[in-house]
Amino acid sequence: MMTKTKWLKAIISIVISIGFYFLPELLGVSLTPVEKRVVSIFMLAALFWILEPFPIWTTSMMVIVLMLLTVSNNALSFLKTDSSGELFKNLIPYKSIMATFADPIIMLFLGGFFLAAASTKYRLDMNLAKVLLKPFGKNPKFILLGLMMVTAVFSMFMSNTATAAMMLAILAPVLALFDADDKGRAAFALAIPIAANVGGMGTPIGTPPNAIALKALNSMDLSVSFGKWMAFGVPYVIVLIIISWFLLLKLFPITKQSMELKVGDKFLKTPKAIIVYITFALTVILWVLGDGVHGMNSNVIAMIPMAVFALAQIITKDDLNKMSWDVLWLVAGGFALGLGLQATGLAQNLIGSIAFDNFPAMGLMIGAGVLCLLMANFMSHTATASLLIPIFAAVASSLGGSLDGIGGVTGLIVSVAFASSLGMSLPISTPPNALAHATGLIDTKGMAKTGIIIGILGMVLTYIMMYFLAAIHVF
Amino acid sequence: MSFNDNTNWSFENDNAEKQIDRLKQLYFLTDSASRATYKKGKHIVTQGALNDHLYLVLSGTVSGEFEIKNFLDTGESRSFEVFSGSKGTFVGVHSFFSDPHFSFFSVKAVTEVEVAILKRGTPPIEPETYGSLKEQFIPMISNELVHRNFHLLKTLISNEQTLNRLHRSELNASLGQLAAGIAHELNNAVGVISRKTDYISEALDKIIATKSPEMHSFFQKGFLYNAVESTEQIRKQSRQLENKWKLSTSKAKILSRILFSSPELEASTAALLENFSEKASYWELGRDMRDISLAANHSADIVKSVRTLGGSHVTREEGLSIYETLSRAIALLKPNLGNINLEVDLESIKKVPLIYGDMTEIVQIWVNIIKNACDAMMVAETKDASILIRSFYSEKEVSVHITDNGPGIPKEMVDKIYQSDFTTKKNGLSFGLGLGLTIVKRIVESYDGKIFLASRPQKTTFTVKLPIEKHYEKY
Amino acid sequence: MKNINIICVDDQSEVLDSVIRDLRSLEDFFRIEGTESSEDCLSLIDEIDSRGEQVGLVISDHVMPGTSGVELLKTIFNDSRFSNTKKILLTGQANHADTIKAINEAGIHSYFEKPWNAEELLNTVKSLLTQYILKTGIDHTEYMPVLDQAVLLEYLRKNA
Repeated sequence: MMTKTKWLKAIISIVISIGFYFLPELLGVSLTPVEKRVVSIFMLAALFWILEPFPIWTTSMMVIVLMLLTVSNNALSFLKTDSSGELFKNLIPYKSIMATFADPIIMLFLGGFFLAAASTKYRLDMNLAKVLLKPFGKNPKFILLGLMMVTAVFSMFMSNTATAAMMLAILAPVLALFDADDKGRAAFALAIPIAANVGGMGTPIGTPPNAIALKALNSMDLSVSFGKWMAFGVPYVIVLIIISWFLLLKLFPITKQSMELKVGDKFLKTPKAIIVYITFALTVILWVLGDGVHGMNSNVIAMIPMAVFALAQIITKDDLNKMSWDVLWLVAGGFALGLGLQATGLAQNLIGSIAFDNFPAMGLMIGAGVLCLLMANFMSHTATASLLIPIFAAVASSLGGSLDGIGGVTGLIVSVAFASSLGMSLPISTPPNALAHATGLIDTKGMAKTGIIIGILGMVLTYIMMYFLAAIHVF
Repeated sequence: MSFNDNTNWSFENDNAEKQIDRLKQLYFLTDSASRATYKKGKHIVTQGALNDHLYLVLSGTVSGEFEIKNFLDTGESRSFEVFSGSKGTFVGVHSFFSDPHFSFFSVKAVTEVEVAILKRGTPPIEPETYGSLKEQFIPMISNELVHRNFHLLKTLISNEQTLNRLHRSELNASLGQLAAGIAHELNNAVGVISRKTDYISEALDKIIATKSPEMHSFFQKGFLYNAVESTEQIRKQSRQLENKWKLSTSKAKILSRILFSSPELEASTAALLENFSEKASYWELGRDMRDISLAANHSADIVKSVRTLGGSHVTREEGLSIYETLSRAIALLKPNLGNINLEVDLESIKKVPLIYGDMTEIVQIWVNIIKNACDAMMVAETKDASILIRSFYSEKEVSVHITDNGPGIPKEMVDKIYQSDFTTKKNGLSFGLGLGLTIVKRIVESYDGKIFLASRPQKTTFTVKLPIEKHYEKY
Repeated sequence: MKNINIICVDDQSEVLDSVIRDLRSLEDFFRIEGTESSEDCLSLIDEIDSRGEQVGLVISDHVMPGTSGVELLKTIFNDSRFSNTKKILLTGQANHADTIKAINEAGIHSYFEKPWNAEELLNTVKSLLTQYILKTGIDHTEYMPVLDQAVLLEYLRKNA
């Protein structure tokens, strides 16, 4: 059921998007009809994602269908030719648009879903949390750090939302024992979404914006392997988690002296459970080693657990149906938008009409980060990345060597992806934030303050890291 | 169940009868056989004494009695009847044939008794065919044994029935007492609640009238609110109001109720809605007070009724209202009515003149009759079960008709329903006040009243007629 | 919003009013309706269904004139339109057999004895509605403030 406001939002979005079809002309930029259609679709996607008259994954689906109908080589016939009846040159092969949903990176994510689903089903998540939290003792301060670390690690392989949900469920009974005026409760409640969001940056499969970034890099032949991503991602996550931990302790001092978490029980020892443990470990090891060692790229490796779990009936048909297919559609829509910008030549045309050459590289990078961070606070991280990464990929490629000092194109795109993961100042910013806010232990103000500080510190840390990575010629 | 009616106690044996007949003819009913006559009360044989005669009763009644000298250590002696007999009964069987020939119990003449006597030592007749005297008499001995056993069994069963009846009436009586005891305890508490509720409503009314006079009318409207409209009407109207005035569901419902009870306000709804939250809460406060005071009065009524019902003091006085007795009975039964629809013809009942009687007793009558009808209909799962109560009067008497549409009472049971051991209830009492229809009949008759029953399926009517004036003395 | 209905059924209007009042904090998210008989309830859920709204929960008394609460809940249980609807029996007078029937034949999700504890009832209602929302695939983010945390978190751990 749609409410009146939602219809209104949808109509406004459609009207503005149609308006954008004519805007380039008014600004004196000459674009082909196909390019203008892409501009309109892009705007429509952007507005739908911002205003959310529909669930965001449905917008992605719409993007793909609209592109097939209007800018593909299999579009409606009257849209394929110009006034003289000649076929447009920059139509996109419809197979490429459809292929976005079967993109290797989508498969990589699906592999991640299989790993997460299997480990949840066999309680590996809970039991592992128990083992990992043990060394942190009973001092609430260190338990807080432990929780953040564990959350971050899990979030690298599970969805941020599932990780946050699991950790909040572990925390809820313990936080109920805290005094009502103990600010520490807010520290714990906030720590979870922060760590879940930050942890997602650690691996390519940690969070969908990473997928969008990988896809953009792949399309420019600048692929970053799973192991390489982790090589910079994991240390970054560790440093940012420690910074956040200090910040939380500072902002929300814990008065409680001792606490104890009750989580997990005995590791299951059934054959299926053991298959899950081994497959999980093996997959991660293969990902980290990279194709240099065994010849398989990370996308191919991701297919291994799928086959194993399916054959062993660890993931059943029912489990398969319950996968977050919406997330995959969302990402595919993002890929399709990127494809639209690149393949129609629109990106080149637009970039060409703006004199980016004169832009200071650093300024561009910071500008991109700020814009991305701002948007990510108000809308879906994936949608933010889907909209911004294709644009900045085009901009970056036009800049040539001036970016080299700060990581080049790769540096810019990874930093935009990171920025979109750092938007976490509002309950609506991310599902983990919404969950933490719903516990009632943290108010919007506290969340905003912490979120903004960590967002800014995270961006600064990103730039320092990019500079450093460039200096040692990783990028 | 009464065992005389339903049980086949036949143990007659034709062959044995013939043999016994032969014995009687050959040994007792000959001219040479000696005869004797015992006056009423005389012992034919005496317990513990020697006996060498076998007697056949020719006329009159005898009774065998076993005497216990020190019954239950009371020092008194008690006799228990072992058997009784008349013409054709043998006496002295045991002592005549056993050795030594002491009598096991005494046999007394209940009326004047004539006996034929067979002396020990009489030679057997046709011993070559029938054997010795003892052998010839075996059929008679066993026949006699069966008769005596049967007699004992009968006594045992009748004792069991007596015990059951006793137990049930004791249970009824003690439940009644228990209920009355609890009611007595509750009486004070309920009294306090009822009184103080009145004080509070009055005080609130005054406080609101002085402190927030503009809210007073809403409090009063709530307090006097008496639903005339159906929930469906409220639902429909409040839904319209909700949309028209943008109200929450609960506020719209209150507004709807206010408008139903005070239609004159409809024209000025806009003014009414000013500061409506506060008005609504005063209205609700008023209605809450009304609900509390209704509930308090209701509880007080029930307590009062239970007390009267369980009370043991009977005071018959002039001026008892049938209407009031019926109201009390209904108040008492209401919680147990379940889905039975109770129709009371108030018009006819209010017209009935006052009678001479005791509240408790008359309430008992109604409670028991109505409860009996309810139980019958619940057991039979009567559809749309209903009970109709009407009343008529003539110069001399009032009559109350209680009609149900239950399964009816079969003709063969009609005579038994007033017996105190008669019940159709499978699992005992569901309502522990009163002794059922037995007590009803007893009470009615003590008033020189009458109770009639007319029953067919779907229509069973109990009619109770009670005299108006005191033209009887006994009770 | 407010497409999910909670329906309370009790023949005693004061009691009905109390049940509805105990759930008032959910009013911004759910439509809370009251009916005084089973028959009325059945026609209401028909109407709700024909409007395209959902019946998330029915809370019913047992002993009422006409159709009993257990019979009502049984009817709803056997109606495929309401196969996901949650059901609570709220009664002071159901005997052993009624209760068994309510569980076996009406598939009730919770049983409350009168007088009930308002907070417990509210928590149970929240938890059942959370299950309802998650089961029927309604966007749970719109109901965040009134959802049962534990149920939601467990669901998201497994399904996000």
